[in-house]
Amino acid sequence: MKDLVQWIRNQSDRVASWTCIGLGLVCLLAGWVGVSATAFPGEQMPYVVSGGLVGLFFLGLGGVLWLSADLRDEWRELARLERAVLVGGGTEPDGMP
Amino acid sequence: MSPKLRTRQDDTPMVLLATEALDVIVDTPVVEPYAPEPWNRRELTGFAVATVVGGGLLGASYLGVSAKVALADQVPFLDLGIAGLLVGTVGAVRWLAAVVKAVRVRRAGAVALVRSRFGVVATAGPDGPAAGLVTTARMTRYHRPGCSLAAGKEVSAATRAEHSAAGRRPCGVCTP
Repeated sequence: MKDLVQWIRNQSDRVASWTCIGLGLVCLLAGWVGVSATAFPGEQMPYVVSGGLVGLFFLGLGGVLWLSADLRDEWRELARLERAVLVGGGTEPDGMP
Repeated sequence: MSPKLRTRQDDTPMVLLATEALDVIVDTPVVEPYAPEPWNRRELTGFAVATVVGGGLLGASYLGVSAKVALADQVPFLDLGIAGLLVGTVGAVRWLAAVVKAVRVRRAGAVALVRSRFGVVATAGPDGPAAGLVTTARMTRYHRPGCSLAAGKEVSAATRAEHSAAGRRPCGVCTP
């Protein structure tokens, strides 16, 4: 349990990303169910907005968070590489993260 | 008295440095010239504001659409929702573009750093070096002498023209 909490803390951006993606899928599914349940466009429209548009919004947000998490990983990797080259002359010294 | 160069990494507190009139404070980090994250505060704020505004417009759209019964009355609120989605999309694209650009710049800097530290020639002019491009008997490509793909192998050097005449292509890693 402690490891899980630690992992969630370290990967908070990816957790947020998957949460948004999950919410987006739930919204899309709920929207589809709501729209299917009625034949009147006036009653379908709230589901189109809350299910379709909000679902797309969350899916997009999740994708952006996922990509930014990958880019942040690369950023940190480059920082490690630079430190290793500058400090260690090409080999990472002991204890370096 | 000549000015004394110091950096913020010195042990002396900044407040003492500032009171020494003849000292010159060099505010340049030695090892870590980049921010800890590939984005700055302004970009992060822009993304957050666009997300919140987009989400707010979507919420208002939902409330407006739910309050009306006639389709004709709902359409303006639907447009509001689409506008919210667009605002969120624009904010996200701008954010991602800034982060990708920052990472690309840092990657280029890291490559230049490695090349300068390990003596790999970055550019060799349009025709490349006259000689010294290496290969082995079984290779189909030729490399710079410092290329990691040629390291530790029994290589022979030749000019670019000789390699081309032998049907060998330039290495895609060291790009001779």
